[in-house]
Amino acid sequence: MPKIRTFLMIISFSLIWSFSLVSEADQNQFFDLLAQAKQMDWTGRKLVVSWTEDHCAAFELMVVHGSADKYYQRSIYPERPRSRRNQSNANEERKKRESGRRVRSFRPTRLSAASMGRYESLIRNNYVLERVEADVTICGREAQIWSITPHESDRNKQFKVWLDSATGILLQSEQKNGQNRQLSVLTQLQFNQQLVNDRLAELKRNQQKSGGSRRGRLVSKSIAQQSFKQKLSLPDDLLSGFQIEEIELMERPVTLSSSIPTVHLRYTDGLEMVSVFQSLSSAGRDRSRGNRRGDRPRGQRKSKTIKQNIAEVEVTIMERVDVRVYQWNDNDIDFTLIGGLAQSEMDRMVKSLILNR
Amino acid sequence: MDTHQEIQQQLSAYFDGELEASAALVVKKHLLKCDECQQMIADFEAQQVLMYGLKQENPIDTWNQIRDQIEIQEGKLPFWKRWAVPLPVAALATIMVFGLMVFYPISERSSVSPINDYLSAHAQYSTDYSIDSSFLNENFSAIELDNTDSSGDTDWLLDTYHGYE
Repeated sequence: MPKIRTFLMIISFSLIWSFSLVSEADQNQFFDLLAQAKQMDWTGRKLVVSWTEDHCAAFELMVVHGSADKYYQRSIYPERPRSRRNQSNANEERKKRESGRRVRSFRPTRLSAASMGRYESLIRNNYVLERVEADVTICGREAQIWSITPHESDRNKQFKVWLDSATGILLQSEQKNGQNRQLSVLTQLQFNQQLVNDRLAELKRNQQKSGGSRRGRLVSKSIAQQSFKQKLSLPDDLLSGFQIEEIELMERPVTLSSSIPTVHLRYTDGLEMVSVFQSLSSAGRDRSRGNRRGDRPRGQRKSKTIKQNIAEVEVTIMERVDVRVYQWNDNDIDFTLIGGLAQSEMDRMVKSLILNR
Repeated sequence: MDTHQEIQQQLSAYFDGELEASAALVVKKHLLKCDECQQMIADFEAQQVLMYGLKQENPIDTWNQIRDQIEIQEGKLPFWKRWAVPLPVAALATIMVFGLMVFYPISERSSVSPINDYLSAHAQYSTDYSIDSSFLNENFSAIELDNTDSSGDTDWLLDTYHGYE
């Protein structure tokens, strides 16, 4: 009997070991393919559709070298509200605006080849990468399908990406979080070197003109602390797998001559992102303004809001379709946490931030 | 016939050219034969030269003030002076405008709740699309539709892409 038990143990260990080797090989193949995509010069159009049971939105982007490089974006659905004011001189307005196309965003987004390459170690630690055996063709290119599943059972977000088998270009991606889904697919792909060069040159020129899209400036912890003149809560990680990515120092204008310094901390697990905003409390200002219409900001009148005590602090929770917003005040600092994780995980993040103070 | 004393009384007027022609002729004839009166005219001339030497223009401000007073009475003040505000009032108005600029919030949204700003900043780094009204003003509406209103774009996009439950 002991021999049989030993034999079974050896077999099971061998299976686990071989499975981990296969998994490791899969991961290597995935990231090798992504690395190839960096070498490619291409441009194209991308369709982004986001939907739930009662909500749908669609964008079209022109992209160069990846999803981050927006040449332009336009809404396909729903149509933007129209105003009477502009209807009379619509054509003139259009001509005037057409000349002013500018790029605003020139950095990788989460589910892009560049971003996934950058956060390779985090993705390897936090997600399981599995190749789905199926033959698919997108934009005339043969694609490999990869499913990306978080290790943490609380994280119910599922990702799927379609990579060009030959070049590693991200042809399609899908995010699923309960009822929320987002699909991003390339509808046009061109390898015209001249076109790529022209568009890249225009993007860079326009970016220089517009001064880039960043609102604040990236700073270190110590500089953020000095600028704030208050004890900030700056933990290196919030939850298992989430690490601090960047600290951005923003100035939120309040009057023409004064502003409130705000620190924006971004945490990522490789694919998900959570934002923590900390600013000096504006409670006194709000009270002095009384119960005016402006006390409830536009756009929040329909949001679902609840209050909850976490670590003996009252926290206001707002639920949007794809994110949860937590707001609380702790020792004259206003905190705002925004993320698309499950409520249990968001609650734990709030608790760790409160206890970290 | 005018006497010497009567002529002497008219000498000053004659010197200033204020006499009528007939009276002036009488004084002129008298001067031809009266040394004393000639001496008086010579004194007048000397005094006049002396006075010219002391002559000084009226200060411009004084004249302007007098002219303004006259024009006020006559209703001829220039339009820009009619609207001129006394200094204390102007100072008070300046202080009030400055106070509004310094203390009045730029917008209700920014002073009360920055939530939309935060959502935009979060979305900027977590989505494929940009949620930023300044971006929209320059780009999005340029390409998308011809008759769009860029005001409130951020709110509209937040409504659309973050939505409500």
